[in-house]
Amino acid sequence: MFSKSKKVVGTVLAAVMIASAFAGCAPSGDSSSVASGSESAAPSATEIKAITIDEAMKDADVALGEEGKDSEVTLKVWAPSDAVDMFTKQCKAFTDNFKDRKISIEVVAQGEADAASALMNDPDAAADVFGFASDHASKLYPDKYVAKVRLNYAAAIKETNLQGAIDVATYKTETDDQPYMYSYPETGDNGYVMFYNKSLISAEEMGSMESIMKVCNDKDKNLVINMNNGFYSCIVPLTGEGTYSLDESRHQLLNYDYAKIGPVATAFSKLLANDSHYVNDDVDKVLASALKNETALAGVVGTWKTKAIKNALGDNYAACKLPTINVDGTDTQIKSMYGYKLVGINSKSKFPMTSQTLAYYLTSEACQKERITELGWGPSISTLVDSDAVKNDVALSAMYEQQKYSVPQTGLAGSFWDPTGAFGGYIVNKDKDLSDAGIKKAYDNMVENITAQ
Amino acid sequence: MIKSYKLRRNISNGIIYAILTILSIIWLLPLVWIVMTSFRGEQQVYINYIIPKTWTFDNYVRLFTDTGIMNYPKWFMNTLIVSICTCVISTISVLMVSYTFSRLRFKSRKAIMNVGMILGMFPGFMTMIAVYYLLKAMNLTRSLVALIIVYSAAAALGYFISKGFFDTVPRALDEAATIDGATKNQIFWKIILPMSKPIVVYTVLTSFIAPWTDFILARIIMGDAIDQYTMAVGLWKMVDKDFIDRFFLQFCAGAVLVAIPITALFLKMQKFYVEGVTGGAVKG
Repeated sequence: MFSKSKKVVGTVLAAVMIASAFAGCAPSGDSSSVASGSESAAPSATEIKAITIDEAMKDADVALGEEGKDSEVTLKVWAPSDAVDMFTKQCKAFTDNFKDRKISIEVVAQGEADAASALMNDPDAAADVFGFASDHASKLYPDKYVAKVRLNYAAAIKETNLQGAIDVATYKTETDDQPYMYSYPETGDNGYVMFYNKSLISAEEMGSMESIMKVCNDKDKNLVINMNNGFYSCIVPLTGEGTYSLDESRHQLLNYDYAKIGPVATAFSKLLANDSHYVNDDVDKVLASALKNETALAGVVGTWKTKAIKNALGDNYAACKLPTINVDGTDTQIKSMYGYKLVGINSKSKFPMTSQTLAYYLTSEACQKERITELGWGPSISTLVDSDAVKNDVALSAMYEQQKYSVPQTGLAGSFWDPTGAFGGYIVNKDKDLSDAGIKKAYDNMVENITAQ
Repeated sequence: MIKSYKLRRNISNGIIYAILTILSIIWLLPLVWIVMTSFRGEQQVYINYIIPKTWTFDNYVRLFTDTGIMNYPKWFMNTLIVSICTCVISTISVLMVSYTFSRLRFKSRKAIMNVGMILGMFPGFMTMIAVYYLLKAMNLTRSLVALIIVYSAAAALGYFISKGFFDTVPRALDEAATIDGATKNQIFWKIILPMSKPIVVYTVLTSFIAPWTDFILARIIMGDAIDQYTMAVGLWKMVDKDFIDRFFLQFCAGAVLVAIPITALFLKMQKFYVEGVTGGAVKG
């Protein structure tokens, strides 16, 4: 008796379930028009007029076009979490400036190291404006995950920023007739220096690896350098005058010469492998604690750790460029890799004009200056690099000093890092074969793995 | 050769106790360490001694008050909501599917069971990218609803254990109930379930713990929506290189608190494990 009505109910329920599964599939606005704005920067035959940030901020029509007049502009910005407050403040200043336009900006925490992969995984869910490290440029530019910088802005940026920063921001894709800027230079300090405890070791003693290790042994303290990480261990090939680049299909090319790199590797190996006061550990996690405990007296780490190390060392906080190392009787300056942080515009942003101007504002002199003092971020604008704010900052001045002995972190394929880290870890591991033949073999492995296609 | 039985017993007991003591120290040390660290006053990440010199409750206080970047209370609630919803949905679906396979006879029952078993053997994260894009097409990513759907959708595939349990409940009970006029549905709710408390408890626990501790799917689905994070993802974020110096001790406090709901659930449900013995149900 009931069976028929039950069947009907069951069928209806099943239909409802299927329908609800598709309920979210409604078309989501006009996604076709999304990319058009990124091409607003198309080259024109006439001379391109540079627009400074001040000019842009004064004229909403120039800066934002029609965006925000009728409907609200909603933007998402990615910033590293310790900088979220700062970016929120600066974004608020931006929206306050354009009071007659409806703009709302949400700043979301997302580290620069993961920003590129997060964007590539799902550009629709990614931020409109985001910071990333310059070594990710080779992932983002060629397939145009980021939009070109508006040409009027690019013209002004080129006049004020460090040449190195402009170089890593510029790229020529297959469809471009000439190189264009694909991102806004944000910082000029993405590298690493030697941090040390000045109550335990003097600035002169920090001059060479040999004297540092001597003090370490005398005082029973450690030196921490992460040679397992390619970002740090590339000091070995770079000190041996190695350089790198990418070929047209984005494979890694290495200009390495073992006759020069071999002796450097041997020097590092001889000095560090058998010394129990050298610690090969993840500096990002241990260095600040080790300096605070005074188990370590010095260590190499990126400037993003400046604040933590400053807190750990207090009055004994000091930083300097990387030391020299004795290679076959000559003191050779250790060379490092040096990067920049850039701000990119998601090419799928629905509000390209506002995004462009916001990125321009966030990387402007006023905002960069604020970030030097509040966050200790090194600027990419040349006049700020020479300012007192930078000179008075211990880590930043060490950073710009080391920049003279560094190779830009650009032209790197993803295959570079792990083999370089493995080689660095090998030469300081006393359990490995550290004879000339052993190091040569590890070196050959590294080169083969990096350049393998 | 040791002749005395007593001496032999003492020696063998001594050895066994020594081994057990060593094992329990190995097992307990990490737990003791994280509890101690969560009450540690020294601010740095690593200290070169085990027992802290200063003790404080501050890490717990800051965990719940310093919520500007790391909003632990919100994550806790998110995880609780997801876990409870998932727990209810998947417990009901697992038990119903098990009952169906155990008691009802229909065409292709065997075939469906086999397909279910094979599908159930693939780990959920194998399809995570596909799941992500499907959710994205439905505009559901970065939401707790998505997590509940993902965790409970395929739960019924884990039917074997409870089906095995239902198989041991005598069919004579069903038959007796049928004679009394009960439908299959009534038999399930009124006869089988009350007698299957241990397996219900087991199903509740496993389906609560799975979302409570899952990391991979939550990480993929939530992306940058830090307010929607579950605890596993949030705690991982706390020891990211950008934050570890600031949040390490809160992380330890948070890791200790994670255990509380699971422990509470266990204590509450423990007694049912021994109750509800089905054998005694068929009385004359």
